Amino acid sequence: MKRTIFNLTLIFLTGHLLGQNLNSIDSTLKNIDDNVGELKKEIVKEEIEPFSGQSIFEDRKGSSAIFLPYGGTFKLNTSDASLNFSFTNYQIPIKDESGKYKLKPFYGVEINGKTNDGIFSLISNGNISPGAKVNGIIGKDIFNITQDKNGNERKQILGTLALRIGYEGSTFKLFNSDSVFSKQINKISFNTFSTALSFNVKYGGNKIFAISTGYKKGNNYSDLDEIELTDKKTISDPASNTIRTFETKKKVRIGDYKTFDQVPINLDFFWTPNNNPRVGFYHFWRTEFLNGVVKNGFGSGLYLLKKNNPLASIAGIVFEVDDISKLDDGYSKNFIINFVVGYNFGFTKRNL
Amino acid sequence: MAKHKLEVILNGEFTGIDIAIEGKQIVPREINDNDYYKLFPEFVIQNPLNIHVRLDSWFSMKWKLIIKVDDIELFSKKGEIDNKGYVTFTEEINIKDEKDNI
Repeated sequence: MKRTIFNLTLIFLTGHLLGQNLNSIDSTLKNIDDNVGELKKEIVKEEIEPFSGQSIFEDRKGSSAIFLPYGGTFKLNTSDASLNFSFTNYQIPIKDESGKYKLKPFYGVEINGKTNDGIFSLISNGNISPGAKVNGIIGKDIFNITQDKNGNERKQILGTLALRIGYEGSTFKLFNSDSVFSKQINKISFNTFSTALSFNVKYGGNKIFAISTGYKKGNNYSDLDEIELTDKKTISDPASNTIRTFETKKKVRIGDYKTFDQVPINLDFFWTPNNNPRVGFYHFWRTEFLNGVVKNGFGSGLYLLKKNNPLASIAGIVFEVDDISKLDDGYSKNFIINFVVGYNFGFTKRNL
Repeated sequence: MAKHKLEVILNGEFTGIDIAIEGKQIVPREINDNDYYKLFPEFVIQNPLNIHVRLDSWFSMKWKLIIKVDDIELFSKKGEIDNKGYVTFTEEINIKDEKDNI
């Protein structure tokens, strides 16, 4: 118990300290953006059409109740414009000398970096609005093998409970034309403490049920309209009788910016047919309590899975309804189709 | 009853491992990605060798188990996990017969 409290305290302090460094992450991301922007100028002749994709077991916003703690993973979600790295010291249950499965608690860390203006702001020379999230993870397996009347082993249930505690922050640029000129572009910092508790159940060899809930502060930045500002300046040089003009462009958002308390309940179910492990189906339900207002959404995905690895996808397509209450406004506004791309990769901790 | 060098080599991605030889639970260690190994320099074996295995994993994952006695591969089995999510079997191997065959 003392060790668990010590680890929880350590995770919280680490998350808090890393959260304090968000400003330096901000400037680092800005430098990356500038450098990539310069590179893009040289190699890209024409603007290409935006695309988006998401990872397996995730909705468009990168949310998921499914948490598989095996080793470490990198995930890129172009729909959410985020890059995620996670690692745990998870060890699989192995029956020890006493004849019982040894179930050790596991600890880990999850780091998520994103831009709030979509993946293309990473490769455009405009300003990005970076965000970062650091989570500490603590979890434990619950293992159960059922037996029939004759003592024969039947289907097994493997449950994993995981608690994620973290800190996340973002910076945004908002435009207000009613303010005085020097204060029209307002840089806002958004920081929140976040928690998420998830419970995953592996049933048989081809089904995962998962539920998660938690708390964090949210904002409506992604719902605001994006505009591009162009500042033009003129410099005159009487000595050479020359007028020089130049312009800078900034991407900002406009509208009524709000923050709110967010309590999500996520339900996920992933399965493969009994006769075909190369095809996977993913269904999710999202309920969000936003300052007492309930928002419900759902989605379903179809994946082509890698041979002999049903937890990795080659490609897939996901249909999503973001808000059921707005379906009356027309399917085109709430019915979203996204592609799942297979550029996740994982690695396992070596345990020599 | 005699003492033998015993090696257990297991390969695959699992969600649970249960291996018992001669009624003694074997606790292999992951020595590389999805490679498990356990060595007993002196393991008491009563002919025939009794092996009980239960491996939990995901549908379609491959697995392979090799048991060596005195550096001789005495038992080898491989397969794919079915949709139930596990494979389980019990085998009895006559050490003398197997060694004579090699």
